Amino acid sequence: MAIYALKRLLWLIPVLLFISIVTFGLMHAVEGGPWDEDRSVPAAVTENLNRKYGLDKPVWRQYINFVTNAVQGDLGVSYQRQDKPVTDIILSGFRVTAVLGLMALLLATAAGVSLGVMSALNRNRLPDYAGVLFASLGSALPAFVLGIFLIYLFGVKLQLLPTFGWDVRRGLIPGWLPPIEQMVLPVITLAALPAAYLARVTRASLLDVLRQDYIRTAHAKGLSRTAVLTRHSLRNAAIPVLTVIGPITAGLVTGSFIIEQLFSVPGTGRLFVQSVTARDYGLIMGTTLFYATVIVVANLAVDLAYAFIDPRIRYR
Amino acid sequence: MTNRGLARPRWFALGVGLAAMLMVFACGGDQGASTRSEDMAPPEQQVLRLRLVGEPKTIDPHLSNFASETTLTKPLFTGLFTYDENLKVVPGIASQMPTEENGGISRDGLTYTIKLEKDAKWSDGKAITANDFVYSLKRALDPKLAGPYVSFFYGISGAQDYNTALGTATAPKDPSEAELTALRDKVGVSAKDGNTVVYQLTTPNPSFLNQLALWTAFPVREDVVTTHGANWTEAENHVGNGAFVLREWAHDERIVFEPNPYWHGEKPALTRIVINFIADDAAAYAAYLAGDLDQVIVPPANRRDVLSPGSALNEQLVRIPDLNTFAVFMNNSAAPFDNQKVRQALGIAIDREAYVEGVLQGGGRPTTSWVPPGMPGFDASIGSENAYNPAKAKQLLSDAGFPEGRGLPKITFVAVANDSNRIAGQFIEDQLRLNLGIEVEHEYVDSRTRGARYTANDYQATIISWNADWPYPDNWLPDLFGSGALNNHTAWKSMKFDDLVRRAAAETDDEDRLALYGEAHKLVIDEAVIAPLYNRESFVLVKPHVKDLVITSLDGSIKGDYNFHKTYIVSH
Repeated sequence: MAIYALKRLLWLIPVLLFISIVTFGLMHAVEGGPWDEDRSVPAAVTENLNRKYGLDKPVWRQYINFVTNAVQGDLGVSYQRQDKPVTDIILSGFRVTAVLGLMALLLATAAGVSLGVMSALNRNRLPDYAGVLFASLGSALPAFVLGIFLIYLFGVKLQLLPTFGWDVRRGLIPGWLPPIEQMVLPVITLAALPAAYLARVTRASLLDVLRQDYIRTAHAKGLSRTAVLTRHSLRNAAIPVLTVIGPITAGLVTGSFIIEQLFSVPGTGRLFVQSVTARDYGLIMGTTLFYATVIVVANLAVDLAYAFIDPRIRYR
Repeated sequence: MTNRGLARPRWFALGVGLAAMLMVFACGGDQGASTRSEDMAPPEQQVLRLRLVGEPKTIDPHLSNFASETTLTKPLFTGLFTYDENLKVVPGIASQMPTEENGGISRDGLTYTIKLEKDAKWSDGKAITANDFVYSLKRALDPKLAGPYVSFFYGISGAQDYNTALGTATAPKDPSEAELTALRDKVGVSAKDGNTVVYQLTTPNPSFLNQLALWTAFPVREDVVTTHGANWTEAENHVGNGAFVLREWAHDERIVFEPNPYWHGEKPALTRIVINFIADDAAAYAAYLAGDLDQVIVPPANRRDVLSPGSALNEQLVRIPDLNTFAVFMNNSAAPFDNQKVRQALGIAIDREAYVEGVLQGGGRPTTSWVPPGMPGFDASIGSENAYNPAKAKQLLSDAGFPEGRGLPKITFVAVANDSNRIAGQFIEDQLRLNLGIEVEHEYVDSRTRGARYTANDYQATIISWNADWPYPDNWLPDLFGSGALNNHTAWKSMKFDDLVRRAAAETDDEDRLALYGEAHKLVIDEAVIAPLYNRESFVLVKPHVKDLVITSLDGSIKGDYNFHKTYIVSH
């Protein structure tokens, strides 16, 4: 299995190379460059800027320079952030985004799976309806609506929680976790959609398993209800759930533009959108390649997790 | 005065003349430095909590160009000159205003000799010298630094040669280091003695002192910049000469200022200014309502609540006209906008009152002229014949050869894709359909694409917003409407206009100069080169415990930025 994992990781190299060529080509092909603002500056001033950032060279030359530097770990600088190295910006943002994403993942999994199980075991009864209602609401409410509603309710009306911020310096674990009161709203808002999704998938998957013959057999041979549920039903029902957790994790740890924007969380989610609108070439390349890596690794982790859950799955 | 009595949706109709004269309102109480009230809060409560939309590109004054960046440089640095509450240029680090009488300005208007305040110091206690200003101008012009906002100084001898020494993409130059140094040495700025800096111009420039009050003219310290490179703007390295110093810059989160102990002016009462980066307007508004911010710009969606008289929020509302105009810019070189009557028809067919009421929810002032109120040379009568009049608009379109819009080429506006522009776009489309009987379309693109198309004259019509760099019409006319001028993207050409602004620049009498600019302004509007729509206003809420927050019409993203040293907090 280690060899399998290594092979998959080696595939990252051609994947990243391909993505970098496409992204580089696209970002230079679209209309508008980093200095195209409504107010014109003299041509010489624009050229001073191009020269400073190496944009005066032909695009193919710029790409070769980029790759040469990138393999040495240098992704260039961001024009929009005090010329700071792109790697520093992404890494410091990722620490925030990953922490927020993992907290939301924990909450979403705990809430989503419990609700799904509750629904499935009480099919077509009140708890099921409540679960389905929550799942529908969670997937129908856009994050910016839910987020601003929570801010108004808990921040403005009840005055229980702060309205913005993610201050890891004065936090629960300095450098990693902000104070609890700052975490509550962004984590809940971010977790709502995946929790709803997981609840639906868990419910459907568990209902499917509960209908299987081997479950009837397990009951018939006198196993306790708990044993049937934990050892036979849930374990088998977990595979579809795991399949969706992979992309959900990738989505959560790469950050949400809307959540980070709304709660002023200094993560990587908004970097991607901001870099594209500002034609901040270094940051566009950096975030794209970074996202690609995270998604490939998350999918690999899910594939490996299958093997632990389902003995029939083996990787060579 | 306070603005409370005027805070009604249409207060402008009455208040604009007054506003133009005063341009500044000290909110919630008396104005002036010596009147700090007795119930001043203790030092630990002297904290002003503000909002900025996001991480700034830089706080290096020589690299700043956006209002969100310049607004941070003003508390941290002081130029030779600055602005008082009435936007009059006053000495900053200079000891007095240079005039011909005191020998500060030579008779030919080409040499400025400026004496520095003797006890002015940097925030680390070192004395500020004339050499600091010599170094700073040369650094700002350094082509390798690539500052975006330096072309204002091309009127200083040798400045343009040095800044453009490396050439352009089509005409690159490759000077040696020695040649570059020689060009740098030729820039017309020198230290006559430790305390006197001299600027040498190539042509007389009535706005030169205004330009020395611009952030690009703020001084930076050579040893600090050399030692720390690009990191000199980090809190641990920063040295400035403003009323405040940079205490903390938590990237992507906030910036914190504290008073500069060595500042030569009156000691600020505030002990901290915390500037939080909050991207979302609705979230920032909520933060203000929750008491987490002391000032917030009211988003259009919330303006109606704030405007209702007698409400608690209405009491906290401060409205200040900005030196800004929004106008429809049209490409005068391509059909159908090469036809003056079509341009005129478009302007006359838009109900600006309804625009301000509907699209802006009351936050703005309808206008038919370009130079905004508050600016010397403002004249509300210019363009009054272009006021909303559907019948006249239809007639003009018919006179132009397109009766009922028949035969008119398709018109597409280009706009930056965001919610407020979509609302504005919808409004314009409705107005032109209703009042001219024509169908126009909008293409929504991102801001760089719009910028690229507009500056390349590759567009038909678009709404442009222009902000004053300094309060004088030379910043509003020649550069935008002169033949082949840098920011002329309407492709309009008029020898008469060129002649008027040339004469204005050479005129030494202020009144005569303004009259010439007035004529030039009128020409632009008479020929309907653009269709002015409205003047933006600062529409902000300020907590009642914040006193003497002096907002001027030139303030950047954060209101009060020129005068935080006057602001204080009362017990609450």
